[in-house]
Amino acid sequence: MEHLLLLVEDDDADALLIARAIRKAQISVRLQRVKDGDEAVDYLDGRTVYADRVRYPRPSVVLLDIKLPRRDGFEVISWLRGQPTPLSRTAVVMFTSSGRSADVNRAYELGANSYLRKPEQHSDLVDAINAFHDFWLSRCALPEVGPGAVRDA
Amino acid sequence: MTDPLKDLQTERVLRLLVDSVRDYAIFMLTTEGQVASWNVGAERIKGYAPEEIIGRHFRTFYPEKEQQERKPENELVVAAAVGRFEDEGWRIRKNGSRFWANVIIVAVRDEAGDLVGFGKITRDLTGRRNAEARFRRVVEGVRDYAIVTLDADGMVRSWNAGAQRLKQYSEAEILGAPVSRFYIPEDVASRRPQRGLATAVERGEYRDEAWRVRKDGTRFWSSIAITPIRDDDGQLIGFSEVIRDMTDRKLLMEQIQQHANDLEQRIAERDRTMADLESFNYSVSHDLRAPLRAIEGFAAALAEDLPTPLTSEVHEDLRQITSAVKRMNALIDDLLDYSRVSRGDIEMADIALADVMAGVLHIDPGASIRTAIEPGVRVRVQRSALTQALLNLVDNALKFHKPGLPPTVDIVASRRENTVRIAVKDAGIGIAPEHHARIFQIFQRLHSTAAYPGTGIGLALVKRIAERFGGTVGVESEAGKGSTFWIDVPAA
Repeated sequence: MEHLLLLVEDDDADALLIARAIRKAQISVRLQRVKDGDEAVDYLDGRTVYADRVRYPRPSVVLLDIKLPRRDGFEVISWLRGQPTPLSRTAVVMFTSSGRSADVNRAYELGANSYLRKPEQHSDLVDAINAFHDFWLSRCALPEVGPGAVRDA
Repeated sequence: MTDPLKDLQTERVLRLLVDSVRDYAIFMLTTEGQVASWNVGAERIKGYAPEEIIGRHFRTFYPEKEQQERKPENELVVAAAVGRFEDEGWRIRKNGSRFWANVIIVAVRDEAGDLVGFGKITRDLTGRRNAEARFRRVVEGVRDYAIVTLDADGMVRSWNAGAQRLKQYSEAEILGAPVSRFYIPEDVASRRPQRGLATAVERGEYRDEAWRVRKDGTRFWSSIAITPIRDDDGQLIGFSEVIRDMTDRKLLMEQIQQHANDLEQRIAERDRTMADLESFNYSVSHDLRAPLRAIEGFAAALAEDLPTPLTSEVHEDLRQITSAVKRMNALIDDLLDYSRVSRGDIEMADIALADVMAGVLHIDPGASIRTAIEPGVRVRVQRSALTQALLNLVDNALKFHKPGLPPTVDIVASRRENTVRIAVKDAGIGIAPEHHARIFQIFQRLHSTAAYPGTGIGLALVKRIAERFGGTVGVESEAGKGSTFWIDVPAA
């Protein structure tokens, strides 16, 4: 069974390129994309259409952008870490173009599990996705997060 | 043996007593007012010998005006009616001079109750009167302070020149008015005048600073001291109030406060502007880069997804897209650097120039750069900013070399009084003098990006960094003869 990766990304081009990089890297993973912070919370909390955990299982890892409409990445991760277990222990990898140390520090303070910068070059993006997959989805033990989620590979 | 008590009660002895009193004029008048007896005090005070005055009417002691008003005669009428008359007033000596007298006239009656004459006792109070008058004149003459006396009920009893000047009422207008007349309506409503007087009674003094009102309704800021006045028995008989106009000082203080507030507001505004700029820069870097990433990404996707082999035209088109994206990214980087250097705080430190230079050479290790740094020279700069400025100068020196010739760069640094000049010298294409001022302005370029790539920000950034240190930049160059760019920074 494939891991489910929740991509929180407002930029359609970025989302397309990330999806393409995953395809090119020939990684076996199911990608679910939401477009803003509120939708990320809806998905994670199983609200609205996402109440259907068969179709929308909890993600193994969240790839979270910082600059998002409605609710930014920091707010999403703060909300998530404040939820009851097992939801609160969901692995979160920040995936953003911001290299500001203030952003990096804040993300870790709020409970991000790692902080990955979006490369400027597309060829680097495929490498980054490969590295992400190799570390987070292959080598790392991931926590149990409840209904529908896939446990360690 | 005679009884000493009885001996001293004889009329003769009493007369001797009266005769020998020097400080009081004591004499008898007939029922008509003629002087009937004259003691030594009377002679001393009024100047007449007994034989000169006995038999004359006592009106002669009064000023002419009072004689005309028949005041002396009236006094006798009063004394005869009620037994006693007391007065203070001016009296005339034999030599015509005046003295201030306290006068008591008593009716003298025989055993049958018939009036036989009057006794008159006069004291010379001129000395005391003069002292009081002097004091009053001093008070009245004070112009810088309003000095007002109030009775125990807070009504105005006296008024000096200062009070008239400050509050605009004449003494005649204001005598008897309540002290609350000078208070602003809010204070009157809150019973501040009464509380002031009560506090003065309670504590022996009341001090305050407050707005007060002039006759014309304008306000002045006053410093106030109210002190209770008590008689010898400790009974409250009134208050003295001393008021000083402090309006000028108050306005000055308010101006100072206003300036302080303005300054604080400006600092707050500046802080807000800084925060806005910070967030603006963040948005620029994030939002401008996102489409660039997309352009570059889809160009790369096209290159992969188009049927191979690519024609050379398609290959070149895609290369142009990627190159434009790189230029745009460089531009954003430089703009952000420029903006970062332009605003915000920079922390200066004393550092060895050789250390900075090592950092510069380390970043550009392949370049042929010769250095001549005066040993031991230290500068007061922010290390990262100076490194960036020197890197920009070195990059330019390497970039603008003559076609076909390898670039050569010399860095020379030496101390000059309070500054250190760091000069970066090349043997490149040079710059005509008419362009020297322009090249330090942002976005000013002398060449196409095809000939010499660049954003037009590099030298502007160098200049801005030097200025942030309190230093300057300059260039010496001629077309075709190489350039020397220098930056002067404070010596440590």
